[in-house]
Amino acid sequence: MVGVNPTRHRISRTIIYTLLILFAGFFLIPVYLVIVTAFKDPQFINLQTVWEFPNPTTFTTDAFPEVMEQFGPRFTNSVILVIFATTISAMLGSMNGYILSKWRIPYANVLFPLMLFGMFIPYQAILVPLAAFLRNVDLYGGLPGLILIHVVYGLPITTLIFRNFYADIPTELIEAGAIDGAGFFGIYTNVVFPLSIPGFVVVIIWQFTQIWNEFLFGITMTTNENQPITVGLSYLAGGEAVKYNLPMAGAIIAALPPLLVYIIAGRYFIRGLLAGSVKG
Amino acid sequence: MAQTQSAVQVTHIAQTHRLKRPQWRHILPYLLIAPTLILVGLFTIYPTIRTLEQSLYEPGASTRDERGRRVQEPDTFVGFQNYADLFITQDPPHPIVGSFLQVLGNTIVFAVVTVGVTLPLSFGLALLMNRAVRGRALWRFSLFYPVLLPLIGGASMWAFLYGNTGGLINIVLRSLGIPTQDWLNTPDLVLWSVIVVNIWKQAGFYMIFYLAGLQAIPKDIYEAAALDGASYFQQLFSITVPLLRRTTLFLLVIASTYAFQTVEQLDVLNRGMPANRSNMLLWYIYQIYPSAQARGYVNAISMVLVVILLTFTFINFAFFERKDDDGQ
Repeated sequence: MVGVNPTRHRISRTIIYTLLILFAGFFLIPVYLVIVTAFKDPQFINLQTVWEFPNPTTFTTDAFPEVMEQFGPRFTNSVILVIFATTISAMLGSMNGYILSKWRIPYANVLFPLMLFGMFIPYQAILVPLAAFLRNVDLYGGLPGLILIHVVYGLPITTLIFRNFYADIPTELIEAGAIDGAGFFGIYTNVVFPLSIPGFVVVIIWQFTQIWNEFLFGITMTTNENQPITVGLSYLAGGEAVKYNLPMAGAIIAALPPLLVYIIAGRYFIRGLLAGSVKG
Repeated sequence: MAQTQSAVQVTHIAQTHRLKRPQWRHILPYLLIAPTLILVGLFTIYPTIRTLEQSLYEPGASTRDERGRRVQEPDTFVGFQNYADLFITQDPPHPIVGSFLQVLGNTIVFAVVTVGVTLPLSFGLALLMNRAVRGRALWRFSLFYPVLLPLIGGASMWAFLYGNTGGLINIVLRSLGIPTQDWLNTPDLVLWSVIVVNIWKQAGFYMIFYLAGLQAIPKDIYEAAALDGASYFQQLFSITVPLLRRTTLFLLVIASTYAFQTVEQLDVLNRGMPANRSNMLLWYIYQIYPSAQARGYVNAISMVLVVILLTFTFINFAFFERKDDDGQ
């Protein structure tokens, strides 16, 4: 800005940083507490020491192997679930978005809202008939059934994101592909897909975190050995309250995969948003 | 030749000139989009219709015959009796059935407060982050990370903070000489404790959308406004807020949908207790759906939830689209 009073500038800086520190504090205190608690021997976790940093006497990593044992197959289940469901819903969403934005198919203006209708149904509210339906098609209780649920319920949002994203790709590029003799798939693989990377990053982060963190389907649609990690986490929290380090270590383990995805792809996520993929 | 023309024109020609035999490439898009439509229909519209249908029936009793085999008596059509039952608050036939009005009230308060606080908060955070601050990525991450955690994990952290004797919040209050509170067991407080967890969880997410929106606004608009002598707040309310209307619409829809759909934090934060004061529709459904006797009642609640959410979505769209027209 031109001609800003330096004193006023300094005051506004101070206000900005004070606000930021306050908010960051509100957001970060829980995570500080989680970390110091997870690495402490439960016998040292009490009123006075709860937010002390672990010292050589209180420090232990025992909680982590114990939590992994209690999770059992649930960590692996979640990994399989999230990889399959995210990939399939992203690929199908991309294909749908391409069709709905670049192929003027008749009735697209009816088909698309119909698909969006699916997005606003509170899926979990229709648990009873959904469970009955899965039983009928013999998918209830297993991981494939849960993958299918997450794919289907992810499709409206992935289609929406890709449709808006592709709307910004100039139609001339598609026409140029058609002139070069490329067909439906040719245009998709040579023109559309290479331009879709930011769209895929947004969709993958979105779907990955949604699916990894989902709880209600996980606990109602699967049998014990097929449950995802969030269900295991709820057992830890509901368990013996004395061993506070266990739920905290569990929270850290369960948070690592989505954090990793964000650290790898986070900058592209924001770039993808800026590229206009999610405009609503 | 088809190849020498644009894909868009080709479909157009196909529609207007009616090619004698349907070409593969014209059917292909439908074939590819069909599985999605069928699956989404099977998983949303079909269960919704079933829920509506079953909400009109009283489930038949499950008895055993003289050989001990299970006999399922047929359901009886009861019209809107299950919906009328929702308003019964006294003499509940089931330990938790009979609290619908309380639970509905909780859910509405939760949704309104969560959305009403989180959106302005995330807008404010985005405004702060949009200034030239040092270490922006680090600030952004410290506000965004709750989004990435499983809500169950986040809620168990907060359960620890809210603890009555060992909770951090009460330790701080005690050291300041302020009376402590049993955050999760006091009927008048518990819903607010749950709301804080959700604001913490989601504000960073909506902030990212506002940040993206802010960075897409051309700088010269503000420069022109500054030359005209517009103050910071005048610029904020006459440029920034109106230009981010589409972002706000998207977030309003997403945030209110989430407010009705995310309830798993209740599993850790006192399970809707005490006295159902933190119970919410979806958690209520989840609690009573295993009970075969309550099936009609559960389905009636489910339909109420479906209707609320769809109405809200339609109102939202209608309201914002009319505003768009005014702006033109």
